[in-house]
Amino acid sequence: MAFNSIIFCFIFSPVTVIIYFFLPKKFKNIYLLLISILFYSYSSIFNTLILLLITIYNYQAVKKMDKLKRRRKYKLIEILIINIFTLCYFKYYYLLLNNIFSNISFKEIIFPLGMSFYIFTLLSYVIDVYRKKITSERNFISFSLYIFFFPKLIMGPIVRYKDFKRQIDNHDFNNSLFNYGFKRFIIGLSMKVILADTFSRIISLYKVDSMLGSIIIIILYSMQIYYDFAGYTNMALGLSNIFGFDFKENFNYPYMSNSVSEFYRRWHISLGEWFKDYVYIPLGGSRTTKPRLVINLLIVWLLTGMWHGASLNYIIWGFFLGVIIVIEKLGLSKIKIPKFIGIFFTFIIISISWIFFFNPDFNNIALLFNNLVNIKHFTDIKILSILENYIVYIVIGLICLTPIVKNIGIIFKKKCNILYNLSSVLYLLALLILSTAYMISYSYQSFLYFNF
Amino acid sequence: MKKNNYFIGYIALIFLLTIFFINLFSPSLTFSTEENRNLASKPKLNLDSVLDGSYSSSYNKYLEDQFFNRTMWKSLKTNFEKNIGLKKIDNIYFGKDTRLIEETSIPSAKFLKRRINNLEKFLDYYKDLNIEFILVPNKIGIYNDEIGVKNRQREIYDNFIKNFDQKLFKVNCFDILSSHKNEYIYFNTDHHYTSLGAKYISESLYDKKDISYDKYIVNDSFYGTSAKKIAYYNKKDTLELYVPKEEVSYYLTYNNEEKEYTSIYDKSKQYSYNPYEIFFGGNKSIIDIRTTSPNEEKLLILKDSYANSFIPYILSNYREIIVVDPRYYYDDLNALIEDKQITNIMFYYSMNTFFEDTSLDDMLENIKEK
Repeated sequence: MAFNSIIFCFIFSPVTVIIYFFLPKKFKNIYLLLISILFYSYSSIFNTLILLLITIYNYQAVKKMDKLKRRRKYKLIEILIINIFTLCYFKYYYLLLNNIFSNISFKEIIFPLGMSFYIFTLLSYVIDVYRKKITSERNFISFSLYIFFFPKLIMGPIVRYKDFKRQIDNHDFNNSLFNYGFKRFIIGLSMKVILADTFSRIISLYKVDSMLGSIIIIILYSMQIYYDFAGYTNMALGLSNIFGFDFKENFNYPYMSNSVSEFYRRWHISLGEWFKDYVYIPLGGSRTTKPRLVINLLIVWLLTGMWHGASLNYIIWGFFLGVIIVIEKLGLSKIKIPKFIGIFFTFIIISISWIFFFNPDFNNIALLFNNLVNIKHFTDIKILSILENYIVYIVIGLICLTPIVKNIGIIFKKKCNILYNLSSVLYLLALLILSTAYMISYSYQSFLYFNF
Repeated sequence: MKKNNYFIGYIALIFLLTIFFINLFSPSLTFSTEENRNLASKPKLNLDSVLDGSYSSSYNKYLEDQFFNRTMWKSLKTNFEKNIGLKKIDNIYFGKDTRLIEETSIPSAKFLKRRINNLEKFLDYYKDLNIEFILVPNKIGIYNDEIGVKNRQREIYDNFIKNFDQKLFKVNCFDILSSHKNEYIYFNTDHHYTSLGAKYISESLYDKKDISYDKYIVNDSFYGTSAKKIAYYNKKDTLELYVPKEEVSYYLTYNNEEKEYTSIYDKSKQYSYNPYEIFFGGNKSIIDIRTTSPNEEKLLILKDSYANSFIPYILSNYREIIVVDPRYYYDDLNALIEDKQITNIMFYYSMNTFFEDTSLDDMLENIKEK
């Protein structure tokens, strides 16, 4: 069940929230677990069973590991292998087989929704228990809720157990968090259905045929993925707030970054921190020799690429970013340049990196790059008409990559708090109504068979 | 920032719940008149469909289709996008004075090659017959300046006719309609031209002057296909008929059926979803009209719906008119031409259909080789 679907917005979420409202506190966790299972089962009951098995296994195995005085490491390795194997099986097995034996067709394995996220969540839990940063959870309901909690189940953020544990017994209805949650949910929903979906449609309308066309498409990639992912994350964090949870931010205006390293400290923050804590630092981090540093960084980024998907383009994407970050770490970051120039160049590099991210087909990648350097053929009619028609969306999209709107809000709020609050309520309500209109419109198709 | 968000949460929740209840209690619809299609019905619950996930996807489809007042929501989006400055939504431009203008369909080189090839073969095969082409521009071919785009349709037309003997293109409909562009020659909200537009073409084609007509208003408040496609409801359209005062008598049959009709107008369509179907009750695969015209020529028209409002003006010019719509006609065209002893052939199309629809090619490719 996607957050931007009608069933979620207009059935699942209002009904579950209103029941949660009136439920006694002691039932709230079990209630959240049950609706999370329902939420996940709606897409696939089979996947829910897999996740239940994984959850039960990890719950038991980690509890056992926690009790061990000796040989904890063996148990750790066993748990890690089982989890990682499960992920790799679903993620790469089918693709590998198909690539190696291209003449035999295998039954396709459907990748369970959200598996990359929940396996990483579990791995962080297992390692943290092993490192004795936390103790293993004894309450199966709490542990299952940690894994199943529906706002973060499908697309993160990857919440650490210590952050979850703190709230699991204390969360309750909280008025300001509830209002803030809905605010975030509405903003996230509008980012997804008004901006991201429109950008994705524009991209699908156009086959790149000029330098300008290539530039515009790359900018649209940058905005589409941001509004899609950050929008979804806003909905996830907003929903968590509505149910009284408060997790760390996952995005922090990433396109305002001065360098690619900074970009990935502000983009999908929970994944970056995961790799830092569980891969980069154990490998030696940055307090090591230069050649080792280079290898560490490249390992982290190749794994990041592989985490995103099984096809070669993700690996190239990860490697490309790894190389850029190595160059930054080895000295480029010491060169002082004005901030806006840094932001501009970072935007360009990140945008180019999305070319690999978006295109499993290498012909498309070549097409985009060829046009990108084709000064002789600067523009074409199609892209000009697209630009002319959609310029408002593109400008709004670019403005909302910056904190301008937020800052204006802060100034306005300081000047006149009541007026700010009233107008922001109206603004959010308008956004919610408009988002609904966009959601419904996507399914609106006139069948004009006589349209000749 | 987490404090003082006032009451947006409550308002949003009330909004979502209100929609939930409205959807819950509004009756399930089976057909959408605005979209002219059947709406998804509630999927049947069974174990297989739940397990393979198809139940969820059909249920989603059902909820989308049954969302209350879908047209209003689509309308809201269209109006919002128009107000923020979009010039075009779903291939429909906003022209002056609520005129909705469909995008030109641009034929591929492959399409053109196939079409030209087929026509050359056909023209060669029937070189003894009197053949002509009437290609009527769509709104965008006349009002392109209103929306600030180049007249691609005219370019396509000019390039296309270069491939053929110019005698085949006796009239240039771009010129005829352009000279009347301030009159009501196209509907504002529909993709068709009006009877008036067709009248000007017929007058020019047959060099008719001083003919007097009775004018009837059939429907003065309908929204056409373009308005419905993007749910943009503004000014309504009027369907007018111009009936020549001195008409020949005639009767006609549809789709080779036995039943004979004495009027080309189907009154039942007057207030229908698509009032333009008042002409012949909409597109038919074949229509056979026999008249009492003193002229003994027999005409075959290969056409799209633009011909439907044109044919009423030419009844007196032929003894028999066979109207074939290649999109619905699958019989042998050679046999038809021979059986009916056709003397004249006319291709009557709007530009968009002519350069988009391949059923004409399919039909022409079945023409026997000599």
